Amino acid sequence: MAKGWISGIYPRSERLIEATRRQDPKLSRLFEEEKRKIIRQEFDAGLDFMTDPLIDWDDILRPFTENLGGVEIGALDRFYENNTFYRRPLVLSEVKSRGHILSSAISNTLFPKKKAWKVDLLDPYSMADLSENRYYRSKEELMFAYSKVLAKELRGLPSNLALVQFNAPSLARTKDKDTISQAKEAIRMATRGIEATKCLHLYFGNISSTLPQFLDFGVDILGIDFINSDLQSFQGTTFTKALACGCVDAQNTRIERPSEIVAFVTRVVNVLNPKSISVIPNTDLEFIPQPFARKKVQAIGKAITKLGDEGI
Amino acid sequence: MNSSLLTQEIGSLRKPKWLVKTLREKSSSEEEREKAREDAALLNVVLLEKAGLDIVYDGEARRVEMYEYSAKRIKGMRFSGRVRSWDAKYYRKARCVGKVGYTGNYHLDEFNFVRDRANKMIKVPITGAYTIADWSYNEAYATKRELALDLASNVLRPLVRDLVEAGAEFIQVDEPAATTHPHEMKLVVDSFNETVREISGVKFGIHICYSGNNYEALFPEALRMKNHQYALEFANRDSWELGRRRDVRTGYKALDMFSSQNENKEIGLGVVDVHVDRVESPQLIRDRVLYAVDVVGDPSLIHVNPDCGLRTRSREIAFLKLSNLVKGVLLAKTELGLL
Repeated sequence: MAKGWISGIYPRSERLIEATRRQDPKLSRLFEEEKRKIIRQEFDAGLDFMTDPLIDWDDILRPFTENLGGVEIGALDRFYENNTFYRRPLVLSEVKSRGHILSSAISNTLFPKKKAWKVDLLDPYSMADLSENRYYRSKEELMFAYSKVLAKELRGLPSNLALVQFNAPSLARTKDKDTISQAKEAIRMATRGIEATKCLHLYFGNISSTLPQFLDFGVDILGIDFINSDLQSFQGTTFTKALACGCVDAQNTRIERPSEIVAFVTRVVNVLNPKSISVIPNTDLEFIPQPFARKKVQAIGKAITKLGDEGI
Repeated sequence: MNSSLLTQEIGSLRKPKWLVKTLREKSSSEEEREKAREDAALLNVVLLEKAGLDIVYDGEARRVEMYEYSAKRIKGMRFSGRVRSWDAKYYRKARCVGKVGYTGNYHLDEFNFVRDRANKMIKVPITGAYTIADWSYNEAYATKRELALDLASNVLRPLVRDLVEAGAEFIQVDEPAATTHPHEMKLVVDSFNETVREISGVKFGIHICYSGNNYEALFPEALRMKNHQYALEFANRDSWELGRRRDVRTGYKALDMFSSQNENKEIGLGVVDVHVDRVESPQLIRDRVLYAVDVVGDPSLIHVNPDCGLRTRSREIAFLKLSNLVKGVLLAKTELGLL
């Protein structure tokens, strides 16, 4: 049966935007209140994996940039092709972690009991690609250093973690076979000994030409960004994994009708015939204001119910 | 006036606190608000002229923000809420929910005000069609291309035409998004050209900043662009060391690319970093300018400006930076025998 979930950073409400602007002393309480509300919306929409909306993260790397040994906060840089910016991790010496960064940055105690939950991370290659490396001999060496750190961090999470999602925009944009091959090893290292289901979500690029290599990765689910790639370009591909279908546009306020999502997912199933299919936004929902993100969450929920009714 | 190494501002200055207070105060009448905007605009013109710039405007005193101010006045656009730019900085994004249209010249009053008061040359900054399209959610058009070209022909072109009829001689089209999506460069150029189509007797610049690809995305498409000037950010990437060697002026590498195109277009040379309070010394400005003259060859093809609008800095720091910019250009001119 089709599943659904959301990824990465969720937008802040107008109330929280004002509170962050004026550095409200009650900010941590406000973050927690809003997290509860958003997780409740995920639950009410019928999503299968609860996820921390990460509204207290200033960018998707920030907990690591601020807390990893050997890393300092660097200059502002554009986050891929968005009008959104992040602080570059400035790597000045060996990257080190005690394995508590992620567990402190995720509010897993807020999830409803007995409900499966997931965690979102950038993959080691994207982390290295977005960093300013002044210590390691190459980007690859830094990527493997990040792998070790992520392995430690993932082991530091509660054992009932159900899904680990690696978001991999830099990997989605590269066509270099050696890079992809090394990234595969980096993800294997990062997830060694992790029981949870593993998803690699490739967004901000069209991976139709590199898909065969990704199908060989040691993950259970591959995510494809169908907003930035044409389904027809995947025609003729033998898809051997479960698919997270990134067909809900997280960068546009136009709200997809559930029937529209169902029709698209049905076409995807016909073209790729994956082992199973899930509906997700193509990227983090933080690129649209919160009221629109909420409607997208509801649309995903309604779509997966309809898909279930149709036996998909 | 010697047209070599003219100094100019890029656009915005920080709004005075009393202006923000008057605009936010619920009890302020529209007359009080307008008077406060006019006072701030006049103060900015005086500040820029006192700093010694050759080309001035009003520090965008009437505009809440470059994108929001324009989008709010375009038919078919509706604001959706705020999204994060970085950390706790946000901007309001509009949704395009219908065909875009011109609702009147939203820069004409400010232009007329400055024209009647400034003693120096005037440059009018306007937000370009491509950036408005890129920073908006497109719910109405089948493609971004259709939206950007409709904005260019139905909104920006009438706006430019009216400004030129009112006497504008130099218009800077602000396109900070221009190099964000390298594969859309054709659209950037097409929308620029549509904006200025069949409008003559005016100088057109394009301002681009914080390009993630060091402006490499611009060419070869930009060779078709009907602009006379590229006003660009460089200082943000440069070292603070004095000197004119290539290994010192690391932030100005892209000048080689512009120079090798032989377009004979002007460069608006960013010599002041708008994201730090540290004030560039006149000597540092001099060295950046002289390095650029070495690369470009003809000093009359160089204008000197901050990297971007100085609204990110306090008004005091902005004034110090601009004053030193002018002093540094004087030092460079002296060395080049241009005085």
